[in-house]
Amino acid sequence: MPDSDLDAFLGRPPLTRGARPLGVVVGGSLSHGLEVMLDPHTVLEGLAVGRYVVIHGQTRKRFFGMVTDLSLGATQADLASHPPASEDAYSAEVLRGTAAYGLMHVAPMLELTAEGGEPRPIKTIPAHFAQVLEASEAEVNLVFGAEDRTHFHIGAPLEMDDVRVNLDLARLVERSSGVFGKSGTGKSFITRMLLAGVIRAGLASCLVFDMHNDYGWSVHDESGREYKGLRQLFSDGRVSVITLDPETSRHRQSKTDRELRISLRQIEPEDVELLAGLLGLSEIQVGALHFLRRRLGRDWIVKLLAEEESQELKQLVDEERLMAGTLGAIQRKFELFRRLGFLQEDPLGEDAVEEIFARLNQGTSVVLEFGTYGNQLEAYLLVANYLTRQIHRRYVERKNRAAGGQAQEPRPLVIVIEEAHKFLDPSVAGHTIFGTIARELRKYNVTLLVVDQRPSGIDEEVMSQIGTRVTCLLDNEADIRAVFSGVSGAGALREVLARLDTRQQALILGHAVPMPVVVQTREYGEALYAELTGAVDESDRRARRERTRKALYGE
Amino acid sequence: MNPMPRPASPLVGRVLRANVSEFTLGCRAQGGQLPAFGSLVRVAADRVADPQAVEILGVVADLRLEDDPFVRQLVTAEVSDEYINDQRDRRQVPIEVRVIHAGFFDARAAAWHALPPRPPLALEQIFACTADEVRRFCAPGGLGERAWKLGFLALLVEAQAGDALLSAVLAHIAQVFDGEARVVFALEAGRELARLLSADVLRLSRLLPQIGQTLTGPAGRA
Repeated sequence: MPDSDLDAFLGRPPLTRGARPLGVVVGGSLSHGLEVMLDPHTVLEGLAVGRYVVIHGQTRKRFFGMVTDLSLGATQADLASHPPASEDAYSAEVLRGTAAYGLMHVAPMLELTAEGGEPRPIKTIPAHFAQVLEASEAEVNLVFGAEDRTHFHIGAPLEMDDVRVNLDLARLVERSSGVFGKSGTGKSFITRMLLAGVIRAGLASCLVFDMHNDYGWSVHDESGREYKGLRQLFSDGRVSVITLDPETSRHRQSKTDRELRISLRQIEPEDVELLAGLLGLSEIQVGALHFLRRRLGRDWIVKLLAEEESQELKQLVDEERLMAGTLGAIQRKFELFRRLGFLQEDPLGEDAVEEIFARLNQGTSVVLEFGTYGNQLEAYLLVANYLTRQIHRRYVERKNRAAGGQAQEPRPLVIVIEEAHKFLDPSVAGHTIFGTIARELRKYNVTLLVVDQRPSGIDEEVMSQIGTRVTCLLDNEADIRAVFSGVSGAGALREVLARLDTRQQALILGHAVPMPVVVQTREYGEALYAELTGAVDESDRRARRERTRKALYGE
Repeated sequence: MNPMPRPASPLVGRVLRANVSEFTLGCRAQGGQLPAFGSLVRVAADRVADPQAVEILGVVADLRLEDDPFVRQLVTAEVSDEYINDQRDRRQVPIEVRVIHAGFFDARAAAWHALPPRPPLALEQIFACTADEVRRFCAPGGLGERAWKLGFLALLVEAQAGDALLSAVLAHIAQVFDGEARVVFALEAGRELARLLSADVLRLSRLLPQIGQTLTGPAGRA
């Protein structure tokens, strides 16, 4: 009986005309994914992990899933002992796909109903022998939604160049997120693209601690090609660049908006505590910092660095409140602060922190360029920790006042930190401001975007709070494990992650996408520039002008 | 009543005995026109029981020439070639050809790869299948139908057909297809056998090279 008659007899929904099944479901479970036996006509080499498939259920449901593994099977173990002779092409061709077959492991993710509507997470699986087809462009588009102001086109699924994967930026900034990957896999390019999307959509202000000068004015790739930074992309004032190293910024011909100088009097022991490992401060010495701050007041660092030892310090040693050796060690280690040119006793000008806070609240994103200080991890940690603590404190105040109806809600803020594991190491994450922000979710309208190549170095509790994870190639087992911590069905995705290309491919999973997706990230170039700059419509400009007016003159 | 056009095809013989899964026909030597091992023949089913008689198709699985006392005498006698040929054609004992049922055409001329509802009646005429009939029996043809019809292989395997018969029947069927269709048929038929005999890897490892050789050898190319 022809298939079509049988379908009519059994009431099976007919498959899309012309679509040839890749195979049929032969086993599996909801928790571990489905085993699909490939059709003899399906070329195994034409499949790849990370591709999308649709499984046609018995009812009119379709199950949308991702290929997570491929393997070879045989009906009989004996077959391996009796392979066809090398010159017997016929037997090989016949056995391939029948007695010896390809297996595909599929992680079903979403359910598409015949009536249309939003795809939903699956709660069941298709039955045995359900047909598995390659997902069509229309189906992929249905899953990832249409591009609009808050849905940003980040790239295309593998082998589907015409399909757009659109990231839900509103959900991205709603919780902390992370961009991970080995060195040289394009983390900075993806991060810059995400930030550009967030800035264009006006969903949040961004404070970028730009360690390697990748985000501000311009950046060069390994081949020397120049790409626009955020300040160039948004030349209408939506992005400010503040530099810690004006000389390097000048040499790089980077347009900056101001220089940042930090008063030594504003540095607190908490800011230095994070550097304990780098400076070699012992636990006793860290404890002594707090003691010194309490006894010496705001000038504690100035006094510690003074050429002539102050009477107060002498007195502390004489009274045996502080060991001379401990004090000497702290002073020696604090010599570092002399070498950081942006740390000054009495910098001129208005309070930089207050100004940055004001800019962020007006909707201006701030890129803090470190110049040559980016090579000094101590400088990066100190400044990022110091500024974030200060900004966060203001956000908490503003939010609390807003709760009491005395102020406007602070504008959502995304803080971008690189080398995040240095801030979020399990030994320090519990008491640094970054650990606090990650755990608070968006209680005070502040979230993190962490960029890191060693996610295994990040505290597990913090990782579990990372809502969206954009992961380029990782091959270290511990790092892969860390990226998938707290993700259900992660086992299957590990294979996908370990096989990404070294560049321009990323696995995105979490809050901002309906299901894990491997994308070929879009080209960061002219087309993107045009799209980003062309999207500044008059309503955006008006909203921005209004925010500035309110910030300057009040209601 | 026969709904199918009946192209001229050689008469092979008449039914001697039959059951639902096979029949035996009797015939004469017919001057070299004996049906070949592995070829397809057709016979009308019981017309009395079913006015819309089906055409049963079968595969020639064996040909047997029994001796008789007269042949025993002649085998050692010195007689002319003309006499021998005359005796071959006019023997009292017929040549027996065993045919395994491979399926049938129904009244709408649709091919079914299953045992016929009833066996053919005694003395029913048997004809060699034409190329067109073989094509209609095996090739995908209906609207939206992409699969080759290869259910007859299961019937043959069930009837304990040996490797030689399976190779021969595939070679015969392959002859009616040209070019790419012949290759596709060869592969699809091989795959069907691989599925049917998947539990017997040793047999497959003997059978498939044999089929491959037959299909690409002189019989397959003929």
